[in-house]
Amino acid sequence: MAELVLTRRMLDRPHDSWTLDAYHEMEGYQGLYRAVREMTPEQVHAEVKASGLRGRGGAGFPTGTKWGFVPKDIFPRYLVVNGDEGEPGTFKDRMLMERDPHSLVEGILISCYALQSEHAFIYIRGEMGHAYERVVRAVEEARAVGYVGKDIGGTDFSCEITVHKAAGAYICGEETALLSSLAGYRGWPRLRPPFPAVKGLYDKPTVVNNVETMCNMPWITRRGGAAYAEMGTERSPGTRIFCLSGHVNRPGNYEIELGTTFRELFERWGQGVRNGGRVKAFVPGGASAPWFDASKLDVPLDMDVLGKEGSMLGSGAVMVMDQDADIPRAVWRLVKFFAHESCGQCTPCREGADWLEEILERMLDGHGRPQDLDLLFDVCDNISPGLNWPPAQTTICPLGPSATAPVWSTIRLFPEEYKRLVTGAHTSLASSAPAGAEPAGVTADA
Amino acid sequence: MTLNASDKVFVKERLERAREIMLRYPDSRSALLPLLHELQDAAGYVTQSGMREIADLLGITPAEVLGTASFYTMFKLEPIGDHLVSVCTSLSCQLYGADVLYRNLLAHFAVANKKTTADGVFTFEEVECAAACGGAPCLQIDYKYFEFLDPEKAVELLEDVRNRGLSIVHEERGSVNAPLPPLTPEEVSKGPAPVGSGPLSETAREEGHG
Ligand SMILES: Cc1cc2nc3c(=O)[nH]c(=O)nc-3n(C[C@H](O)[C@H](O)[C@H](O)COP(=O)(O)O)c2cc1C
Ligand code: SF4
Ligand code: FES
Repeated sequence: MAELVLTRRMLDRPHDSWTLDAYHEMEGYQGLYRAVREMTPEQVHAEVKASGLRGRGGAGFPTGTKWGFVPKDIFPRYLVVNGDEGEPGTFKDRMLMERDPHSLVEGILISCYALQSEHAFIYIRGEMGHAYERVVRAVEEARAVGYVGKDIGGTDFSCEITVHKAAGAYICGEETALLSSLAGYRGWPRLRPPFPAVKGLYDKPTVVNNVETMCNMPWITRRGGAAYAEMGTERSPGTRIFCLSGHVNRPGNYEIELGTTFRELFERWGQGVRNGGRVKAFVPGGASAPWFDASKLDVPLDMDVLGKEGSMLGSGAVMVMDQDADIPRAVWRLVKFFAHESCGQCTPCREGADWLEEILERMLDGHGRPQDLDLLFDVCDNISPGLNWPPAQTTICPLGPSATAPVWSTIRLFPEEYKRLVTGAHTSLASSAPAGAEPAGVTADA
Repeated sequence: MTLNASDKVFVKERLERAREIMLRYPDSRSALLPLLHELQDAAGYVTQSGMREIADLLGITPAEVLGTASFYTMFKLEPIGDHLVSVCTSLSCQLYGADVLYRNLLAHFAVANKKTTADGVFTFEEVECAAACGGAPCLQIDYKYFEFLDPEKAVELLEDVRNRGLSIVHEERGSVNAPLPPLTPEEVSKGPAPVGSGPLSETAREEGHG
């Protein structure tokens, strides 16, 4: 097992890991001083490239490469950190912000130095009041001792950090929507190009990175990119926090080396399926990822391997369902999420996600028709033609195609569960579940 | 609520604070969401007159303020109860019966989704993933987390909040630091351990928030 890069501090100091004193005692801000005093911005950038670190926000894009897209001669430029975590099943960034906010602050300062940016913004999901307070406090503490502000560490590097509280809209996690929202507008995604690295916040070059991505930077600058690249697999280096939830005995956030298998994650970390049951299905990487059945348990947690297997590691959310789980009902719930969160700009997404939700709801309500499976495929195909992976995109952002992934992947894996709805052998969604009673197929007994 | 709907919100310290917030950004329009939060914290919801004040502060039209505010689910355009109860029914919580839990809560308090109880104490809303899936099923009361619930516990929790107030109940039963940090591989090999929030740490207690 590799060293713990992200969660060591909160494990060692569960009662004060978020304070500056505790952070100082655990090599805190040494990476920043090393960077600004002993390295040029180019050298820091080179270490990040050498680490092979890939973004932890969902798309897994190599961070060093992304930084390289910023035009050389345009200033000011901004770093915007994405703490809008809202993908169902994902709860790692909140933990990092609550328990290790100084590593986020240090990571941001190091990144700003490398990017030659003097102003960073942390966009925090509004519902996470506690995380917001902890991050605000960490920035204040860091400012009081001179890590944030003018002439950091006695050098001529200056950097300001603004903590921004969002207000509830999942779509603002998408980077262009996030930038509109941060500028004070509705969180509407826009077409790329231009990419934010060229034209982002206030039309200036802007790098958008995830919270967990940032929290790796102190370690990488202290220990070097090569040491980081030794962990994990060749194309997915490092460790990563997986958010394990659903029907395992011990759900939670686990930092593990990339390359571990799902089986190990479930059995060793999750302590097995509850009540001694077995895995029927699992979502390998967040609500937007196509689902897997038990035949994929030995697939390693590696971004490229997952891509070849027809899904993705995405946001790091792994949701497990045991043999009693009602698959169409679970899928309906995710589709409902997408229908609710669609920003409404693109017809296929706005109308399509609503249609999927309504059809599934009607089927679960006991009014399934034989043609419904074809209809579901057809609606999916209208949103994302061809139903391939990675999905074809006819919409402004990937949310539209994402809504289809749970549907088509599970109809292919578990056709009998859907056929049951068509033949009327299923209890209705509404009538089977008067207040307090358990609807058929949903297990609320754990 | 100390303010009446017609009282001016951005005066004295609040006006100073608003100006300070605006200065944090290269373009003051970025302060729109933070100012709406300030307004809602002060007035209980996003009032028409408050939105006009924000429009004046930022030099934009009231329609632009409303058009933006209405996009975001946290901003309430009408008064709500003393406490906002946000119940997550997203997938990880649904897998632990969150929909049953929510229906049961609504029935117990004889209220509908997005509505306020007759005594004005609770406004209920069904929400998407609250980023506490490891503690499913969960809910937030005024954005404070409560995890590992079941239908009975949830009813009992809210009755407790109604009787004794949120802060004391949160301190005793809420989760400040959820989710708990993961266990190390050595700890993992020792076998199952409790997950999620557990008792509040002493420091967190002193901080008095969460
Ligand atoms: C609909 C949608 C929602 C997203 N939500 C988030 C989010 O909550 N947090 C996040 O870091 N990235 C999210 N992303 C990915 C961001 O667009 C962006 O790729 C990411 O923040 C870049 O950071 P990284 O390179 O460090 O991963 C989302 C993308 C889409 C399409
Ligand atoms: S795909 Fe959906 S969420 Fe994305 S921009 Fe279009 S309508 Fe909005
Ligand atoms: S699904 Fe309920 S907190 Fe994530």
